[in-house]
Amino acid sequence: MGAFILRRLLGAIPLLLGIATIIFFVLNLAPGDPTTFYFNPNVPPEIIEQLRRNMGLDQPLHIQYLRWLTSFFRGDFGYSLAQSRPVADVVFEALPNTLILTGSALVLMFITGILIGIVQAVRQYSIFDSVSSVTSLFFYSMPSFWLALMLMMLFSLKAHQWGWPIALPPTGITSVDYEFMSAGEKIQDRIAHMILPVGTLTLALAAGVARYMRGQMLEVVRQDYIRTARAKGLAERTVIMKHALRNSLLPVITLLGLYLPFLFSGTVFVEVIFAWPGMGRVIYDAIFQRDYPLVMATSFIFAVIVVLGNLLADVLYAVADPRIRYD
Amino acid sequence: MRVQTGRFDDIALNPRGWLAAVAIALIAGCGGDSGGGGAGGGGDGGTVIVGMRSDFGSFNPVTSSGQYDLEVMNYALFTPLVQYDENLDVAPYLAESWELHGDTGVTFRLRQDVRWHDGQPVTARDVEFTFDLAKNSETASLLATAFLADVESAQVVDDYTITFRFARPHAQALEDFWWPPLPRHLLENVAPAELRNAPFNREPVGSGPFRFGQWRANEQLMIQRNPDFPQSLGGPAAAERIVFRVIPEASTMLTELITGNIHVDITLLPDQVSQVEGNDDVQLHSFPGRTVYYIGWNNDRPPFDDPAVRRALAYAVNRQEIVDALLYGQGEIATSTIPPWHRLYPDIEPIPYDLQQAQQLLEGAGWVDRNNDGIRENAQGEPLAFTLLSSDDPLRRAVVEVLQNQLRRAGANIEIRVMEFQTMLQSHRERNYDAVFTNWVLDNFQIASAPMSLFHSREAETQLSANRSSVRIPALDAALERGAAATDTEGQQAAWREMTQILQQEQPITFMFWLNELAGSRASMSGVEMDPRGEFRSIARWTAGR
Amino acid sequence: MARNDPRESVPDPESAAPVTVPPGIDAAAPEDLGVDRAEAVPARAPGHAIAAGVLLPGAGHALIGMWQRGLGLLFVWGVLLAVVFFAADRIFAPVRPSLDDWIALATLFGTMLLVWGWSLRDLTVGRRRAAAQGDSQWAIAARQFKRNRLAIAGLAIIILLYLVALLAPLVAPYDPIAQADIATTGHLPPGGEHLLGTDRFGRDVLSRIIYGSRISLAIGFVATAISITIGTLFGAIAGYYAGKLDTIIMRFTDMVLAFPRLVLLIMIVALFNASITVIIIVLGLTQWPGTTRIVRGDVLSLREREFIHAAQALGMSRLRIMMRHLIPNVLAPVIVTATLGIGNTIVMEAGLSFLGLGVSPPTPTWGSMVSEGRDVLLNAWWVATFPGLTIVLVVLAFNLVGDGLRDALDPRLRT
Repeated sequence: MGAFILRRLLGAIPLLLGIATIIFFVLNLAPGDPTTFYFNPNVPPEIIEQLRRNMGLDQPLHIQYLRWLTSFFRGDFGYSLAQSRPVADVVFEALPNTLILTGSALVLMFITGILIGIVQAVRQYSIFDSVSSVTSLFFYSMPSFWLALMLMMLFSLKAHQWGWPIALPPTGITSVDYEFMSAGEKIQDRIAHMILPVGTLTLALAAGVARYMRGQMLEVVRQDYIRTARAKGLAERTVIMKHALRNSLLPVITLLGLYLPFLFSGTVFVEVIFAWPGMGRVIYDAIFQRDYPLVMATSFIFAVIVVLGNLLADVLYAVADPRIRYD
Repeated sequence: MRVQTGRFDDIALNPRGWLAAVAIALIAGCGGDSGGGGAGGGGDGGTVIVGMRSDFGSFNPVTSSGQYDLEVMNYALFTPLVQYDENLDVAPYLAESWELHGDTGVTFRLRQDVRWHDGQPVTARDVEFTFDLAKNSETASLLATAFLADVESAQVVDDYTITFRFARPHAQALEDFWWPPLPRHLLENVAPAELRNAPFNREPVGSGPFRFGQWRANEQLMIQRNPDFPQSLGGPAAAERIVFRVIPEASTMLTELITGNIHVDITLLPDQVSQVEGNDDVQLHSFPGRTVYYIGWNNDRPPFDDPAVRRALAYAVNRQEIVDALLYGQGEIATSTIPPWHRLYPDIEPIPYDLQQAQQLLEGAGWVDRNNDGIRENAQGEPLAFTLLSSDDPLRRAVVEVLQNQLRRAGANIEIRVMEFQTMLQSHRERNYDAVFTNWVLDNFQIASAPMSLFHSREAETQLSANRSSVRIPALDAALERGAAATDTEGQQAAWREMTQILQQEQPITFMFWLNELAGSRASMSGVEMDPRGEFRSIARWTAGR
Repeated sequence: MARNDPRESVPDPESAAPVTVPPGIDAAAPEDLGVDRAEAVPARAPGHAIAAGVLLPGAGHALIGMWQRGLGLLFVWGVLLAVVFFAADRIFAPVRPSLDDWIALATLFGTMLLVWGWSLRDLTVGRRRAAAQGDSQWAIAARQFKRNRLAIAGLAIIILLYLVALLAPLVAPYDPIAQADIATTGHLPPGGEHLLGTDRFGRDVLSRIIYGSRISLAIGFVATAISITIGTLFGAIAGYYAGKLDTIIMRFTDMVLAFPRLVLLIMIVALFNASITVIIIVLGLTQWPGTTRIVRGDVLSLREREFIHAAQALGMSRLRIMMRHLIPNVLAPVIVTATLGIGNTIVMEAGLSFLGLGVSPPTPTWGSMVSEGRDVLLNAWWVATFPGLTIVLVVLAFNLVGDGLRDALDPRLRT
């Protein structure tokens, strides 16, 4: 197993390097450069030229690339041009927020998806089966920005206007007076702020898990050993819970790796609409501001997480299923 | 009482009841949210929460260039040498008095009671230090070009007296000094080229009625009341804290304003005005702004090298319809870069909407519909067709769609090209375009500054300069130079009147409208006054209220 | 281990279940199915029924008691006639300058001819052959698919949508671009002259949705065509040639897969100034890895099969084997992926438009309509809501059809 992980990690290096290189050249071949971010049109050309020199943008492209690459290997992501502070600072501020958001969404998505899938499979062809299929597919078909807007309108604005007991806060991670809250209030405040963004991501992606789970379950239920279990008179509940469930849960793990890129795409919209200060917004702003060092660092980190997520899924799968051998 | 507490604890331990407890707390939380500052303790003004569409850039008067960065520095964190009064005349601020040396220079005497937030006094050496930094080309300072182009040198007379020398006589000279000094003792070891990346810029030590508190990028900036701010300048701020929250999505922002989670929304869209007007809890602020929208014609490219065509197209644009229908009346038709509320505004009628006149002019210039397809052609059979660039800002997209329709009626075929802002700016700068719909934001109230960069023919020869329409009109140059150098009001008025007339006649670019600044604030607040000087003009007197 | 894009078909174990029929199917409705009925009724319908069918498609079926099919045909025919009736002035207008109108006309009359002909054929020859229909892979799949009501509903929506897109000049009540006096016609609520209201320029929202379907569907269709072509070729090459080539292709696939697609899209579209062609190409060029993985997996197992060995023994060239034997045999999952991919692409386009990076105005697309309307959601909800719902409906339809196809096409189902 150790050798397998090592091999996979080594294999990931050229992959990530390739990604970084592609980003670098896509960015630098694009028209416009970071200095235009100082878009106050009064800035005269000679000052812009000065800025370009200060930022090292007057160098030829391959020199810039080499310079970026060497400092990158030294763990130095450079300076964010727009925020005028180290890229690492920006990332360390935003990354935890995104991880909280995507992490909770991932957990919730799997829990709801798996639960729905199980019930669907056990009650195949029931009303619940078809209704929940169509419903979850309905959310799955919805653009996440649209879902986010609708949830916000309903649970924040209309809830407030119609005097519902709870109107969810649509923006931010915490309330402004967070520091003055008691520990219990702090937790509640955080949860309240997470409901809308996490809910959006969960609703949008749970359908995939549910469908997969349902299929797994149905497949397992028709295996011989389940038939055997039933034949020897075990209660249906025991058959499902002890035998079928455990074996059908395994392959669902692999979805983990698959969903990460989708989740990260979704967070861009969700973070913009719900003003969640995470990586999605950093990367979005950075692209528009031509903040090259920041774009490179953030998209690279996204890629690393996706690759690690895939690796994690494989390892988990191997650990959980003794039939799988990686060597 | 005991029983109740006990029950609450039980709930907290039981997983199902715990959710209920969350719900209860949420209800309670929502009720008291807007008064959140109460918990902050101290000031009676409480915590004021302001919604912003995008984050601040940095706080350094020399290197920052964002509009709101500058406003927060001028009105909250720092103390500029001079401020504007309600008539937009220069008023003393950090400088308690001044003495003009004819057209050649000025001596400022500074207040002695203003201190940096770390306790050091603000002195003339700080002012000189800031001036030198701005003038150093390595800092690439906007201050140097927008304010100090005509100021040559600074000399400290004593700790609280400083003299500036002008490079040449120029109009509105005192307005060159609407910027605050930096603390020299904190920044003198920073190399000028590194000033832009100085950590100071993200946790500035200022001298204004608020001191910097805490800044979490893309999330919120908090500034706190400065209890030591001198009474002579208005004393400490009314609010205990101001929190600027970054909320990129406009509809989310409006939701927050309506539900009371923020107190002020400074970036209301014209579309949202009706929502705010119909709401008793929210007050609308609509005031004339410093942003003028215009159609830039590329004067180098046919057919825009012909003034008749530009005039004809200007006649064909129904600006009143755009102001009424798209801005909901929140704007005023523009004739030049001089805002209608300025004392130097020459009251000249804009070119009216006159489709017949437009058609006649076009026919006179040789553009006739020769093949009955509704589009005019010139003698060579080339159609009157061009591309109109716009950025992806919703208002601009909307205006160009209407423009396309209006100009079509005059027989011009327009293709709209909506681009991401930076990409559009790049094309505009490189003069690689036919026509563009864009805007210009005045950095200051010095009338000469904008037209000088936009229209002067020497700028047309400079690559990537602000004269992106390649305007080369000698008479306009002359009027501009006279206006910039005139130190008497009559001279200025005459020059700007002439400039506006030439602009109306030649239409090197077609001015569209001044867009009102729109903001909403909770009705419970007090002290909120906004005018062309900025949204945050009265920020030191804002209170959250209940 | 199954590993691919979740929106694109995970080789779904669901379909491995022997008797799995997707939800929403009424298993006990064999009499509704033409196939089964064909054995019960005479091969050829009586003459009067055929005559009725010639005059009015559907009437013939109704006469011989095939109500469901008859009413369906009557309905479709009625809709088509209604289009002809209401658009008569446009259809018979003397001047017809644009290609759009020709396409619409051809579509309209083509569809009418098709419905008429199919109904006739169904009454005469078709029913005889239905019984004889063999057990070819596709025939079985079609039968399977027909049992899935949700999928059929989805298919109906999609067909309707393509018809509407092609017929746009005839069915749209107003010009989607022209503006009148915007101050008086802007933001009219739904009802009255404008069924779904007007936008801020006084343009009819319904007409814009109808015209917008062209862009959205075209983008979805072309981008997916690009992506599955690339994906299939890469997958087949990687799977069949194996070795170094396989490693290189799969590394590259992993790379594209590991990259957050939206970020890449934003980057390319924003920085390189999107035109619609660029958007389509970029969408297509970033969507193929899922297909590649599926195809490669299938090809890997196919190449060890006897018929491939036989082909090799016969001395067929590798290219020929790949084109003639491998790719046709992996088409089923590719079709499923493509169907799901179209829906996915429509959502992506909408997302880009939402971020302000879509097609330039005034061309209507659903995404840009939502984007333009979202700032006025509170005072003119209809501007964004209807196009938003259209997106959901259409993507849902593609997903339903994709799911249905997967169930129908998966060979493991037919054990």
